[in-house]
Amino acid sequence: MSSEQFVQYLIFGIQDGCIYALIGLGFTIIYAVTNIINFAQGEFVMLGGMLSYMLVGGMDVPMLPTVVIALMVALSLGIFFYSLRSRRISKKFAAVAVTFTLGAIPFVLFLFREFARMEIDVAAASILSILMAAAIGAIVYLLAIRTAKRASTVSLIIITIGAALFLRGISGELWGVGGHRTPVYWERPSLEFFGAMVHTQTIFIVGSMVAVTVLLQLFFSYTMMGKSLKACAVNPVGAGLAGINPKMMALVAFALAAAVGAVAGAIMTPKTGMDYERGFVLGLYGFVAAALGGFKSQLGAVIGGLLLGIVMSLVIGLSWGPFTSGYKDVWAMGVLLAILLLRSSRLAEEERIS
Amino acid sequence: MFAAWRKRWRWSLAAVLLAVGMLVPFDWFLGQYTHLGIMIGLFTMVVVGLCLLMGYTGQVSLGHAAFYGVGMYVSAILSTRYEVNPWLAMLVAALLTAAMALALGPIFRLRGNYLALATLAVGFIIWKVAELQSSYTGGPDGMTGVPYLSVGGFEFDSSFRRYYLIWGFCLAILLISQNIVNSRTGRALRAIHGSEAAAESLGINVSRFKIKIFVLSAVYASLAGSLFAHHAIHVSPGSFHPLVSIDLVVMAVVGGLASIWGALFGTGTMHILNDEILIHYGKWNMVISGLILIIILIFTPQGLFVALKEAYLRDGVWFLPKWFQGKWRDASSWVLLRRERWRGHVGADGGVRDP
Amino acid sequence: MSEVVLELKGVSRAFGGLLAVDGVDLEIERGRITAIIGPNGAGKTTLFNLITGVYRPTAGDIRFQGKSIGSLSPDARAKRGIVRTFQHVYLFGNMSVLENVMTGVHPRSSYGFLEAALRLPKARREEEEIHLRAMKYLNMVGLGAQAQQNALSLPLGQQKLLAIARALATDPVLILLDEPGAGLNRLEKAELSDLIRRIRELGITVVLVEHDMPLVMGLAEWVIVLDAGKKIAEGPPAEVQKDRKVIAAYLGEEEEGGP
Repeated sequence: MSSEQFVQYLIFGIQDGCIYALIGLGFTIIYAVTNIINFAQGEFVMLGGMLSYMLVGGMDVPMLPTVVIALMVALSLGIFFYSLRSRRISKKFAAVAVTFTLGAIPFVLFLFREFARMEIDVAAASILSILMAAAIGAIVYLLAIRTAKRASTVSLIIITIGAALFLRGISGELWGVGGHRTPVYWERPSLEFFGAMVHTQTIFIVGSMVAVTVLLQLFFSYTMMGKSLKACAVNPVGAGLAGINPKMMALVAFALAAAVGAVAGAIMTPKTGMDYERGFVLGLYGFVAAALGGFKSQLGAVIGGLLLGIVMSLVIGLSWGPFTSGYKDVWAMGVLLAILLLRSSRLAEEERIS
Repeated sequence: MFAAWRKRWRWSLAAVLLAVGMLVPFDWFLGQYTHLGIMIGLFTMVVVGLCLLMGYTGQVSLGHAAFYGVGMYVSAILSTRYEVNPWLAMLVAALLTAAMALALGPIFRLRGNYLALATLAVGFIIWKVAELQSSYTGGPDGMTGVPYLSVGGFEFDSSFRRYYLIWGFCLAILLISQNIVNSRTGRALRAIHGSEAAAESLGINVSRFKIKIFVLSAVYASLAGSLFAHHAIHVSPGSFHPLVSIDLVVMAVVGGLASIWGALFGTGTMHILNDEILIHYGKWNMVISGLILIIILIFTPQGLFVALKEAYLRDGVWFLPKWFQGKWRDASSWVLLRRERWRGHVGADGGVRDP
Repeated sequence: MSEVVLELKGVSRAFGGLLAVDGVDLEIERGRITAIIGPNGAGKTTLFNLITGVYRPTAGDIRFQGKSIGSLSPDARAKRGIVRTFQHVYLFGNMSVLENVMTGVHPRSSYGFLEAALRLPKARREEEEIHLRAMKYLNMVGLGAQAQQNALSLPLGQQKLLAIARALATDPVLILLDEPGAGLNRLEKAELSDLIRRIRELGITVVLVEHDMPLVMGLAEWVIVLDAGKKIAEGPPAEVQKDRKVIAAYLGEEEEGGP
C-alpha cells in the first residue's frame, strides 16, 4: 500500500487502540483490586455513549425502565446505609436513612426524566454521563457484588454477566434498539497529516486516552485513595491489616472502572455511534487489551490496546486473504485465545503454589 | 416432619412428569407445544453438561453454544453437501467437538477463571466464522435441506416422531450422567469439588478429570446440535450466537450446578419463561435473565432447583416467613398425630402402642 | 535390615527471598515411625509439601524407593505410594464417611468413564470391591458404624481418623501425617498412637509432624528436628530430647503436653 494509506490506517489504528486501551484499563482496575473478571465492563462503555446521547438531545424516556432504575438506586442506597450501621444506631439515623432510601425512588425518577429532557452541550453531557456511569458502577457493586459476600469465583463471574444483561436490557428498553450518535466535540473539517485525513474527534479520543492514563498513574501513585487501591491489588490481606477497607476499595474500583469505560463510550459515540448491543463486543476487545498487558498491569493494558488497534488496522488495511474487515473480530478473539493458551503452559508451573 | 413421606412422593412426582411428558405431542393434549418440548429436550442435553462442568470444575463455559453449533453445522454440511450418512455425520461432529474441547484443556491448569474468557472467545469465533464463510456455511442465512434421520426404513419425518427420538437421547444422557456421578469417576469429581488438594493427594489427577468433564459436556452439546439440524432442516448461525451461550448459563444456574435433573428443570423453566412469556416484552427478557442470575447466585449459589430440592426434602418450609413456620410445624404435628392415632400406633392417651 | 524408602539430598525451597527449607538431607527407613519436630515456622509443613509434590524443590533431589520423584505431580506420587493427611483435615464434605474412604481406593481401582456411564459388569464388580476395601479401613479406625453419615457431621477427632482411613485406602508405602494429634484430647491421642502402631504393623512407613512432645516421644522410633529450614538433629527420641541444640531451638516456645 502507499505511504498515505499506511498513515491513514495507522491513524485509524491509533484511534481504535485508544478506545481499546481505555476499556482494558477499566477492566484491569477491577481485576487488580478485586480479582473479579468484570463482564459488564463493555456495558459501562455503552452507557457512557448512550447517556451522553440522552443528555445532549431532549427526549422522553419510557416510564417502566426509569422506575426500575429508580428502584435500583434506592436499593443500593439502602444497602449502603445498612452497611454503615453500628451497634448503637440512633432511631433518628435509621429514620433518616429510610426516608432517604424511599425518597430516592421518586427523586431519581424525576431527576432522570428531567435529565433526559435536557439539551446540553456535548462536552458537558459527556462529563455528566461519566459521573453517572461511575454511580452506576458503584450501584452494580453494591447490589450485585457486595451482597454476594463469600461467593465463589465462578459465581462472581456469572453475577457480573447478570449485571451486564440487566444493563443491556434496560438500555434497550430506555433508548430503543437503534443506533445513536452524538455531535462531534469540535466542528471543523478534518486535518491533514502526512497525506492522511485526521478527524477532529480522533484528536479528542487520543487526547482523552492520554489524559486518563496520566491522571490514573498520578492518582495511584500520589493520592491516599490511589495508594490504598494499589495496596489492595498487591496484597489484600496486608492492606486489610493496615486498616484499608477492602469493600470500600472494591466500591471505588468499580466506580472508577465504570467512569473510565464511560470515557471511552462518550468520546467514541460522536464518531462511530452507539447502540445498546455494542457493549458486548467492546468489552471483548477490552479483555484482549488487558490480556496483552498481563491482566493486572494498567500500562500493559494501554500498550496492549494500542498495539491491538494498530496491528488490527494495518493488517486489515493489507486486506490479504483472511485478513479482511469482517474477520477483524475473529482475529482479536484469536489473539485472546492464543494468549490464554500460551499462558496456561507457561504459568502452570508457577501457579502450583496452592 | 413427613420426611420419608416426602421422599417417596418424589418418585410419584417423577412418574407423573414422565407420563405427562410422553403424552405431549398428541394433538388432543399439548400437540402445539411439541416444538417447544423438542427444544427443551435438546437444550437440556447441553445444559446437563454445563451443570456438571460448573459444579465439578468450578469453572464456567461462556461459549458452550459453540459446541452446539459445531454439531449442528458439521451434521448439516456433511449430510447435505457430501451426502454422508446422518448418523455417521453426527459421530464425526462429536469427535470434532471433543477435539476442540481437548485443545482448550490446558486452560484448566490456570488458577482463576480464565476458561470463561477462553470459551467466550471460542464461542464468538465459531459463530462469526459461520456467519462469514458463506461458501461453506451459507453465511448469516445458513443452509437448508438437511435430511431427516432414519433407522432402517423408519424416517423421523414428523415433529411427533422426532420428539420421542430427541427425548430418548436426552433421557439416555441424563441417565448416563447419573451413572457417572455415582461411580468412581463421579466420586473423583465430587472429591475435586470438595477439596482439590485432598483429591490430588489421593492420586486423582485434577486437571485430567476437569478436562474429561469439559469434553463430555462438549460432546453432549454436539449431539444436541446434530439432532437439531435433523429436526429443523434449516440451520443458521443465530442458533449459537454468544448470547445463546449466556442463556445456557442462566438455565444451568436455575437448574443448579452439579445437578443433573436440575438441568431439566432449569432448561424447561427458562425456555417456557423466555420463549412463551417474555418474548412479547421486548428487551425485558434480558433484564429478567440478568436479575435471575444475580438473585439466584446471591441467595442460592448452589442453584435454584438444588435449593428447592433440599428444602423440600429437609423441611419444606424455609421460604415461609419465620412467624408462619412455627404454625406450619404445629399443624404438621397435629396432622401426623391424628394419622398415627387412626392407624392405632398411638393411643387416645398419647401413649405409643402396637396395633 | 534398614531399607531407605525416602531420601532427600540437599533439598531447598525458596519463596522469593525466604528460604523455607534449606539444604535438608534426610533418610526415612522403611517400616519405622519417624517424627519430624521443630518450632513453629521451622519448615515442617513445607517439607511435607515438597515430599508430596505440592511444591517443587528449588534445589536438591528427592528419591522414593530409589527413584527420583522430583518432577512428579502430587497425584502421580500418590499412585506410587506416598500419601498424606492434612493439618486442616480437608474431608470431602459433599460425601458420606464411607464415600470419603472409597475415594481413597481410587488409585487402586481402574474402571473408567465408559464402564461407569453404561454400568458395565466390570464397573459393578469393582464398585463392590471398593466398597469392601473401604469398609475394612473404616472398621480399622473404628468408624464402621458411621459409614453412611455425612463426613462433616463427625466430631473433629473422628474426622481425623476418617482422613487417616481415607489415606490408608490408597494402599500406600509411605504415609505422612501432618499434626494428627492437633485438637484431640488425651484419650483420642492415645487411640491415635494405637492406630499409628497398627499402621506400622501393616508394613507401612509412617512419618509424622507433631507438636505434642509426649505423643512423639512415646510413639516415634526416630526423630528429626528442623529449625529455620535446616535439620539440626536426628536420632532416637531419648537422645534428641537431650540434645542442646534442640533445647535451644525450643527455648521460649510453649511446649504442648505436660511433664
